[in-house]
Amino acid sequence: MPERLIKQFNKLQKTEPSMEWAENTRNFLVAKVTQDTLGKESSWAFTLRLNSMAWVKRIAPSPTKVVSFLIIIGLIGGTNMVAQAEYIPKRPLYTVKRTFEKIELVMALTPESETKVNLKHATKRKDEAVKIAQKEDIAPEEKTENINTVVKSMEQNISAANNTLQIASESDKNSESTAKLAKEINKNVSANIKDLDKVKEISSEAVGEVVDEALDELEKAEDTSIKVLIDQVQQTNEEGQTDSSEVVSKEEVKEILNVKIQRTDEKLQKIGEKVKVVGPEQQIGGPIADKSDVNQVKENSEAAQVILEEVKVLVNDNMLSEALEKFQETSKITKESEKTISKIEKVANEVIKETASTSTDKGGVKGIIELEGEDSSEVIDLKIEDILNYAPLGGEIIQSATQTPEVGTSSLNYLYSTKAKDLLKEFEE
Amino acid sequence: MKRPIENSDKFLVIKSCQGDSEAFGLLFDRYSKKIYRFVYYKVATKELAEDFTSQCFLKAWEQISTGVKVANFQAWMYKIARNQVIDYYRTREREELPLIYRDEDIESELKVDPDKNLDSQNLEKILLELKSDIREIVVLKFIEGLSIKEISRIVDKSSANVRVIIHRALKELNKHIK
Repeated sequence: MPERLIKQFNKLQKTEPSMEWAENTRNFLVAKVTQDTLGKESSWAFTLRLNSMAWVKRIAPSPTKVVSFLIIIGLIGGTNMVAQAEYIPKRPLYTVKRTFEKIELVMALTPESETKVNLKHATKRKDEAVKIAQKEDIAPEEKTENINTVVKSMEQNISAANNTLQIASESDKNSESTAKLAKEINKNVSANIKDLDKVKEISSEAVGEVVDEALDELEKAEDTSIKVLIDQVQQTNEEGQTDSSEVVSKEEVKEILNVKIQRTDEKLQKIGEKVKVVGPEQQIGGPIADKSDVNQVKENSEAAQVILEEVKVLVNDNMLSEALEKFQETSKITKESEKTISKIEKVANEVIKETASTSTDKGGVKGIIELEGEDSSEVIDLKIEDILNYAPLGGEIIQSATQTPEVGTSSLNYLYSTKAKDLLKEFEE
Repeated sequence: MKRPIENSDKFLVIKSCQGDSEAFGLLFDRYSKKIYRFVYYKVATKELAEDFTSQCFLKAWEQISTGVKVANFQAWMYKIARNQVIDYYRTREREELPLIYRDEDIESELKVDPDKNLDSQNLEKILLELKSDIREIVVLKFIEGLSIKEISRIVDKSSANVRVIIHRALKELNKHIK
């Protein structure tokens, strides 16, 4: 519309009735209203309608506010959904994810719900640790740092859950809710221990230390939960309840203990294998471990195995409390042995590295042979065989040697496989 | 700008119904000029427009006093005014119909030259020569500044129809001012 026309229309807005008419009409209408409503009582409904109008308007949010609120909620929800997929602690979305988790924890009002949230978060941290450990496009240092961060956080979650269970069991030892809580913690911890062991296997030594600490905390929580469950079973037996309403059965507790026994059994077997590997009877270029240390580990693992057999018998005889006590003994010995063997492994790794560098300087296999002061094809064959047998898993070394080594992997197994690969290659040449 | 609830039309209507004469007085102050202008561009005489406006408010009061619920006071008032004018002329003989209801060609009677001397009086004349249904929409849109939706509610036409009428009116007005 032309601007000139707009201006003219605006001028037409000044078309007004006369002041006199306006005043007279107004007075007439006001008088009319007064006259018509004179003596007319206003109904309570009408008064209520009038008063409620203002209040309703004040209380009821405007559509703009409602829409804005919904948009904000949508954005927060969307961000949270995106953030949930993030698992690298150094990234900004991870901070968002953790903030939501903190809010979730604050919102948990009862100890039971708080424990459930802690367990849920612990599982998330474990999943993150597994993902980071499997991630290939990340620097080893960064990987170690990230795994340590999430595993420490997991340790805190489990510690909090364990504390809650301890407090609950002290205040009401035989309540159903405590038993349920213990069962839940046990289930969660059991699964997490298994996965955390995998993380430890595929990660560097620096990660191993932090994972060990977390595993200690997980096992503590596992022991507490088993103790509570055993108490619950014993209480049920004393009361003579045999109905299906019981929270946990004797068979279930036995199964839990058997899982724990099996896990320790596997650990002892691994220790045994490692002892064979680093023992003074099989070495390259001289002894790589203190004989007394190795013997000590050997003796301890054998003693732990004996106690473990006793535990198995006690479990079978339904002496669950005694079995748990005995198990703790073997668990302690196993842990000590693991620590010692880990130290020996570390030393062995260094020796292998040194040997590898020396052998390269001196010309591969020949270098090693020369170090031994011998030089014949027969000896070379023997040494190659020796090197191959030197691997912790015997024949598997050839298979692992053909695989591409992972960055950051530093287990003894890997070192031997890499070494064997190099030596085989050189020998073939 | 949105008025506070205590000052809203709805609230004043309810208060008037309760006997608050000053509330109705405020409604009169708020809308009397608008209704007057709307009627004025329908009947084209000042006296008649004033008379219709008074009657319009009186009718509004009669209905309010019975407790009628008014959703949109402004649209309701325009509608009362419009119906009053239509009823008035319907009851009279056709010869007395005002200019707005005459269908004869107006261009021959238009003596002003808008291009040279376009002032508010000229525009008023041009407006009064427009067909009644077009004119009332032009007044509501360009003088009273109502939205298409509000106008469609008052004149009982669809929004699309109102838009078309406005478009035609502007075309017609442009013809006069070029």
